[in-house]
Amino acid sequence: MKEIIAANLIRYRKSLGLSQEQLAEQAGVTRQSINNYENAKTLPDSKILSALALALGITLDDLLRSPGVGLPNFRFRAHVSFDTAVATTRGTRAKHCLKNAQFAAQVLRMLQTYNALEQAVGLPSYTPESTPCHQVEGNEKHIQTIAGLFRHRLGLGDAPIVNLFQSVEEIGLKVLRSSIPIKDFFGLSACSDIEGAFVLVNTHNITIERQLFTLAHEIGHLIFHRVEYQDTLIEEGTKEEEKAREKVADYFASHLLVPQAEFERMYTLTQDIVKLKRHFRVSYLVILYRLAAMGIIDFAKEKAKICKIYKKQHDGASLQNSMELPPALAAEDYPENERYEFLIWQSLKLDKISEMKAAELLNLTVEKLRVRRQENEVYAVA
Amino acid sequence: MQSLNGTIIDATALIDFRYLNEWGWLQQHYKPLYIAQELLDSDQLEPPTRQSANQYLTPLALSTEEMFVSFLEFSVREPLLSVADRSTIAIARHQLLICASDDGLVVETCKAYGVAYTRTLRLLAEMVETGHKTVIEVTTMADTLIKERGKHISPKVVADWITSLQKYGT
Repeated sequence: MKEIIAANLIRYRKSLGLSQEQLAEQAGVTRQSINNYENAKTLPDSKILSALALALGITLDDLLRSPGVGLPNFRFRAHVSFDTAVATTRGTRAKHCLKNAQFAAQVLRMLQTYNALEQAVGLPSYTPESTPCHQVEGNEKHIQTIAGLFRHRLGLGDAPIVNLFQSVEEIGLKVLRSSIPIKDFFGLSACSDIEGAFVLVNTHNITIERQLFTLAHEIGHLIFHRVEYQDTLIEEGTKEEEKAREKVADYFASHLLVPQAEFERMYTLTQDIVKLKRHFRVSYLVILYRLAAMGIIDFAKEKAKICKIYKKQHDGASLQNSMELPPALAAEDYPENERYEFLIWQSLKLDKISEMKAAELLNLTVEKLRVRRQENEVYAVA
Repeated sequence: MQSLNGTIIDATALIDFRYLNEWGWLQQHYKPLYIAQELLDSDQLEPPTRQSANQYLTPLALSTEEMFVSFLEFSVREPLLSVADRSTIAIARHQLLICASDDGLVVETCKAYGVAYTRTLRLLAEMVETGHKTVIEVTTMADTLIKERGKHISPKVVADWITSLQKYGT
């Protein structure tokens, strides 16, 4: 145990670029103590370990576990650098490495919990059918067909998707929306043969339109790039290949949210970008890309025009890339993690989760959880 | 009633006893009383509950290799137990303490690992047995926990418990 703790302390401390002294200060222990723990000379008690874990942004379990042991056997994809020491974001869609051990541990914990909840309630896991596709060029029709089939799987025709989060959760895809304050991180997906597929969508200062697109984009990766999923969050890929895969996922996402035939039909009814984006519940950027792809507009010119009008109408304020052209979709119409919360309450009902754990996952005190549970029982029809 | 080396209280029992305010009786029959450090430090307790814990319970931390191994083992077996729950059971297991809990999953884990445990309704019945309360009083106390404090106990368990109290008269 001392050796495992030692290795983990070193790994997580170095991941944050902290010296022994800095960690000691943050955790309220001496540098000599840290040195002893990292050399497996003494076994700290859980109070000290919890203080160290807090300072390192991890949990007690993360310090006690051998890397990878006891965690779900998922494979991952993600699209951003978490190495905050290296500011190398070259465009939001570019693929980078996930180097932050703390974040990797956090994602694995989320997955482990979600799996356990599904198993507790006895729900089967879901994985979309896989069909490899590595570039858009020459595969446009194929990707559009797959997007259509996926809509069919969701029980939808060509109509706009009211709430993609809800629709995919209904077929059993594990989706978690969480506020993760990492710049330019929008989401990631994971997949396991046994435990199904999982998508994590970042909500931190990110518009609902962008969150929906991220979800659709990750579903694209789950369908087209299953074989590229790696065993860990840390991966490298050739940039050209990865750019091509990103384009496939984007193309799929765009056509999942906005089917071509319906888009063309709507375009004959209105050429107003705001009306089109409202109809399909997507970002104005998706509409611009699609109109550009149809050769109707020049994307850059049209975007510049919109930004100029926005600035004029908003006292000189710029329409940033992270913002949505009004009217934006309202967050309250897209409640977060409904399936996940349903599983927690169901597990509680079945005595498959402790009150303390349920309270922790729902971010409540146990006392408040009890009151909420009582209210839920009053409102339940059966 | 009292046995082993004392009693460790989990979140559910702690909250029940905070509302019941029967610490004196619990001390008398189950002392020394402990709480896992991880429970005391958790964000899932209301401040008055934490205050009660600080006042009446002594914090214990996981401190041996065996405790840490059990703590991890419980997470593999029951991933839907919290850190505080696992810490409570691991300490009870290795310090030979009674685990006071009214959580179904915590109790099941105690049973699986041969950890002695007690539940709130059993403690209430023992209050009658020791002459500290009457049957009517403990029935009212249970009723208050359920109706006013949102404590979840299945109606059948409550009904069986009330039947079992009949042996003490009223």
